[in-house]
Amino acid sequence: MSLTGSIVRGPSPAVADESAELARRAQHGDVAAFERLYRAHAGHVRALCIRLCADGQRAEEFAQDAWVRVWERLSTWRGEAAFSTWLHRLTVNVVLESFRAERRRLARVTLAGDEDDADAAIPAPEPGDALDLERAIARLPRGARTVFVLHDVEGYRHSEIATMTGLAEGTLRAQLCRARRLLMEMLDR
Amino acid sequence: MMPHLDDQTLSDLLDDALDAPARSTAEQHLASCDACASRVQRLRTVVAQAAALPRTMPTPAGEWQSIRARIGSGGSAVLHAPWWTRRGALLAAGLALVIASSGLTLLFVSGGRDVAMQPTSPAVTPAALTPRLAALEHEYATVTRDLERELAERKHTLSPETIAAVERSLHTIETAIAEARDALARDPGSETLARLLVAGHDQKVELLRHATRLATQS
Ligand SMILES: [Zn+2]
Repeated sequence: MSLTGSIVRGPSPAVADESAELARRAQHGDVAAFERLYRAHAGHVRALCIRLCADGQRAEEFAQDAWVRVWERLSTWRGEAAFSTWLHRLTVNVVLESFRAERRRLARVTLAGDEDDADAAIPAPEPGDALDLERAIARLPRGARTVFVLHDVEGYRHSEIATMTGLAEGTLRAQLCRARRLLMEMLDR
Repeated sequence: MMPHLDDQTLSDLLDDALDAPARSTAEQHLASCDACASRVQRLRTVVAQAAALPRTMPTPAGEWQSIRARIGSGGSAVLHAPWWTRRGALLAAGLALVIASSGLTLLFVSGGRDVAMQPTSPAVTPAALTPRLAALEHEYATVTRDLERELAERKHTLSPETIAAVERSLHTIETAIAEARDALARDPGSETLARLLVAGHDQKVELLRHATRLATQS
């Protein structure tokens, strides 16, 4: 069903062209064009935020912050990358920056600067509670979840994720492995 | 017998991140060890399922309005009344069902305050889920009807190939929706099925929206 795929999921060339045109108009202050950009891409931004932070409330804040930043920084989009590529990068950055700020705050009050300190307690699954993948991802420790979402859900390459997160590739591969193993265990229950 | 392959090796193998000697050692082991072969297969399944997750999720009602308020008066937003504002208004007036990362979250809008209920909440029992889903399906039906009418009006601007592609895709999605609905009738408590049903509707709206946009452009 490649047709379904190309129309429903992927940004078709026509949609990408339309986005580029809208982004150019929005660069000149056209709010109506910006609204159409938002309508076209909000669902993906929402999915990214919610999967990265595993918290509906915070995802809402992140998505809004991302769109406000898109508006403010539109002039820096030069059209070398597809608008959607630029947008998704910016969204990931908004979320990861907040994680980093949070870790810095935590590091001031605790001595252990562990990667996953900032995680909310992960509730133990009920015995025999088969989880769907979406819920299982939400239960991952933050570091593992971030790398998993970026690599296995969003399709970024190791090198791109290393740039975005500042993680060494070895650490990143270890987090990815950890995420996959935990998910496998949660889904197998 | 060689020791079993560790998970890191299996995970790296999936990503083609092993150097040639390590890769060949791993592949030889896999060829002769059922335990490791089955483990790598399970990992592969997780990776494939992740890649197949929907790329989009429904956005909270009123999100654009909040963003619009924050970006200030950068120009005048043209207010045409597209389907989504309708949908937003209807959702805000009633209830919205969003797929949250933690699974199925029911979002109640009452007195202007959003109260998200986690799926673990005892209030979200299968019995309570069904009428909400029915209401949501009704909502989707309204939105879809509007879009279909809009598309029908502009259909003549699309090429026959595009129309055929859209119709094939619609058929696929509608089949999936029907299947999810049937399965849900047999297993009304299943959150996974509810999620599938909602995802199907979203795909349909998304497809119709793209098609309408293409038609508007040409
Ligand atoms: Zn083995």
